[in-house]
Amino acid sequence: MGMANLAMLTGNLGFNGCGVNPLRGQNNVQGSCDMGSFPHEFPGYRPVSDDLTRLSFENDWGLRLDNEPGYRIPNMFNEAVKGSFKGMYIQGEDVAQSDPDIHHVEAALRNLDCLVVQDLFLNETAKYAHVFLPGTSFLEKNGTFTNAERRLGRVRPAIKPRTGKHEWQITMEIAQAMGYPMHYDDSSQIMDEIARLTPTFAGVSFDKLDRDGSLQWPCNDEAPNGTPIMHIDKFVRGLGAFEITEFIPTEEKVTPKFPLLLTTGRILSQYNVGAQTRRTENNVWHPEDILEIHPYDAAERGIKNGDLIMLKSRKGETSLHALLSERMQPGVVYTTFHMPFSGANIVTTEYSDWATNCPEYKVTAVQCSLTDHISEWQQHFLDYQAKQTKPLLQSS
Amino acid sequence: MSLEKDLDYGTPESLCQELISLEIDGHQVVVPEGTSIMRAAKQLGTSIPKLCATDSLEAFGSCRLCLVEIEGRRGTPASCTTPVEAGMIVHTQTQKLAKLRKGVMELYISDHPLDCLTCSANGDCELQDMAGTVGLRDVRYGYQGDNHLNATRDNSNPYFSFDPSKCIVCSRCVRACDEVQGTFALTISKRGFESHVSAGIEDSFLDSECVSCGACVQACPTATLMEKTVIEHGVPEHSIETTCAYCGVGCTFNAEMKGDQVVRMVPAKSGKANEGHACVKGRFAWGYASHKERILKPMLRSSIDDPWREVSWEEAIQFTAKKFRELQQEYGRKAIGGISSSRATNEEVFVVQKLVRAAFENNNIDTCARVCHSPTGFGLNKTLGTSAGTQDFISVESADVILLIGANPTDAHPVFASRMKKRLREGAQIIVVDPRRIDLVESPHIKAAAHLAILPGTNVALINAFAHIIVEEDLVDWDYVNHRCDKDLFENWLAFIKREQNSPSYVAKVLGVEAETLRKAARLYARAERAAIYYGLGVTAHS
Repeated sequence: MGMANLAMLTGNLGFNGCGVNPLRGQNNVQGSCDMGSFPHEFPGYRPVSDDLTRLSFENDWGLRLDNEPGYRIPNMFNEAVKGSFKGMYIQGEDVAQSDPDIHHVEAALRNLDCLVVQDLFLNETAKYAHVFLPGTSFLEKNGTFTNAERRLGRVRPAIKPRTGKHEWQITMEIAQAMGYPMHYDDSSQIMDEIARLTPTFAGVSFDKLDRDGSLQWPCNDEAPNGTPIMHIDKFVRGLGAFEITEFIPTEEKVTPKFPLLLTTGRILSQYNVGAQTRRTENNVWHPEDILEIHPYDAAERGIKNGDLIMLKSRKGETSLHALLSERMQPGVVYTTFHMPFSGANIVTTEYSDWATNCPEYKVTAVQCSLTDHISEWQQHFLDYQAKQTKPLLQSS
Repeated sequence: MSLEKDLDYGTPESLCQELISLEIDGHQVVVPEGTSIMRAAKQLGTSIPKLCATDSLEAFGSCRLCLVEIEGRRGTPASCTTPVEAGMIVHTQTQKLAKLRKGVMELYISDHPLDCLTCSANGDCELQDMAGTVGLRDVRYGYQGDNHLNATRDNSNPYFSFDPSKCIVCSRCVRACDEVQGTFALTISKRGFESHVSAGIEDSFLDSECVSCGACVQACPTATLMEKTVIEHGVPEHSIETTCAYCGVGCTFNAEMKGDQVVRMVPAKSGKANEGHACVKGRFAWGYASHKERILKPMLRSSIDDPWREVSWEEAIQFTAKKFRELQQEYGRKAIGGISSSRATNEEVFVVQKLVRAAFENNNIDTCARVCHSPTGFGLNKTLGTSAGTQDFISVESADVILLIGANPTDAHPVFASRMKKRLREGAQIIVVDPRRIDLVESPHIKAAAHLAILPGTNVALINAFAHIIVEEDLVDWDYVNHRCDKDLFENWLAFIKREQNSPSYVAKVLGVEAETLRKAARLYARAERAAIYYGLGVTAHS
């Protein structure tokens, strides 16, 4: 909001060369949000409590829909721990690795009577699953992704699904088996439904995308060729709204026991939790996560380049190798968390969700010291990993 | 190189409004001023032989193959570096030119392996094509003279090899690294006969500054820089246009195939997000799709302590549906829910939320993306009315000042970073707000106007301080604010932003950055003709 205030204040919105632009981490963050992956909103960011919107979906889908918002992910986990939430269908997200409070998530997942995981690999979450439904890679998918500039690009199958099924087919068949008659012959029909029910996508179809290459939403009668730059002449909401943005300092404070601030980021060769890139030759550039520490802080602790160090927060500890670096100022240490073995969620606190890369949340007070062993959690991780994959490797 | 033979005009498009008319081989053509003769000819459908020119790079004029004759002018200028002029009469095919071109090709081939049949670029080699085009039949000089045929191959990069014995020193790779990627890792070392491409001083590709984006491999007209997958599988036979599945740039790629085997991923020139460029992940790191750990059959188990059991799709789906219904009967309608993925397609995500709303009959659907998206969504929706970025990527090419907050594009969004760096080399300025000295603070041909190394978690304070300074120093665009913004909300906000807590002297202590540094940066942003903000995922709701 503050950034939008700044841009309005200086007249930098609605023109080429200006604007306020998020650089989104995952390929389809924009799209998955546009598509209504929210407990309180239908596709196109419209509240489930809005009667007119709900009616349009009810008419199209042929049934009454709940007008109450559902559970958000933290609510789901809380209810699971309490024992009132029992079954989950998780499509391609490794919540057991990316969620900040691992003990809470573990407890929640263990308490489920039916956890269904749909993914390419047996990820961390799958360790708690009862059903594993193999997913497809982008080379097999037929559909669209929406990038950070609202651009819908076609994803076309280079090969057939190696699993024998498209992911939308799996979802559709579960719905059918549960007694709801969901039916599509192919994914273009799903996009037709999206366009039919979502005003900002009204002009989108596979045919049009195949013709035009790609389209930036809103794409409808008012903007048949899409919208490269938004808010020209006037804002979508009408008049621009300056909103008050009070600075609230993080609760996380350095103390004599934890005198350093940890912040995290990404490296070129690896991607997020590394499920894909770890399984490629990209590991030659980044075989493990490294802790960057300022030479001043390192000298104080007797740490040299390449030393194994224990990174401790008030929440937990993990071991990483050190790299002396002047990229940060003294007092700040930095690492990437691409490898599950690094145990990001062991060190970071409940508000420091590194996976979502929220800098405000990416602050953790830590201490670093030389060590000669990996942490207890890391040992547990290795043991559990071996136990989970052993039967699988034996059977294959 | 690429299978998809996009029309290559040889030199970049001229954006000049002024039009020029000339004659090439007896045909009239009208092109924008600043267009090369080579490009103008291509527009007529005439291909002038070339090796060092390609339209993604500025003309270089080194290969001496694209020579033409211009009436009234002496000599045979290179058509790639000669701009069109009104009334010019150009000849691209004359006996004199044919002889010259053949002579040039003879020299190239006298120092090139004659292993075309077994070469990995066989059928996909511009040198081979040009030898055919000029009708090369023999090499008068023989092959016994000094040559580079025994130069050592560099296989250090996991994805491509560098075989200098096949290099013609056209410098397309060097220029692609500079102009397209903006890393400046490659250079031509030494001069004359000894000149050669190198990745730093005696470094191997792997140990060099190379970021493995592959632009050099794509630019290479021979087999010198070659994807290892092409060496293994041979030249692809068909191609499918698709979108990369890594970051939010969403590059368009041509998946070049041989049957069911992906041979290489080549970024598509037609892709508006990437315009023919790619990074190490998108271009090369797709091998996970066939990794041995990938699970291809559905599996079940009754307890998480049991081993997995492979089952049919039918069994897995029926089991899931039955179990979910039983849980709802026992614990209520809301006892089940779903999480959708920001890696999945729009269509896949849409059906998951539909499954939850229509078949689970509740709204227990969420996505991990919500956590990082909602600050953006919430903030931009509240102030402007839409939960999304305001610009297309190409917009950055018109920005004069870029304010980059909590994002490290050269690592996380490399293809957009290349676009941004290109604009910075053209003279735009950048203010980097990041606790860490990221590459955009200082790297070859890039130097940030300011690096505000704020303490982690203080973005909001910084942005408020910027606004405070702009108000205090009256750098406000009043015309814009008065005409386009809500007056009451603005007055309310103005009272807030003027508070002492937002003043640079106060905020400086919170950020760990000097007040004067803040002032200078805020002025730079405010005074720019066109200023753009780019920020990392989830600079929070308040910023």
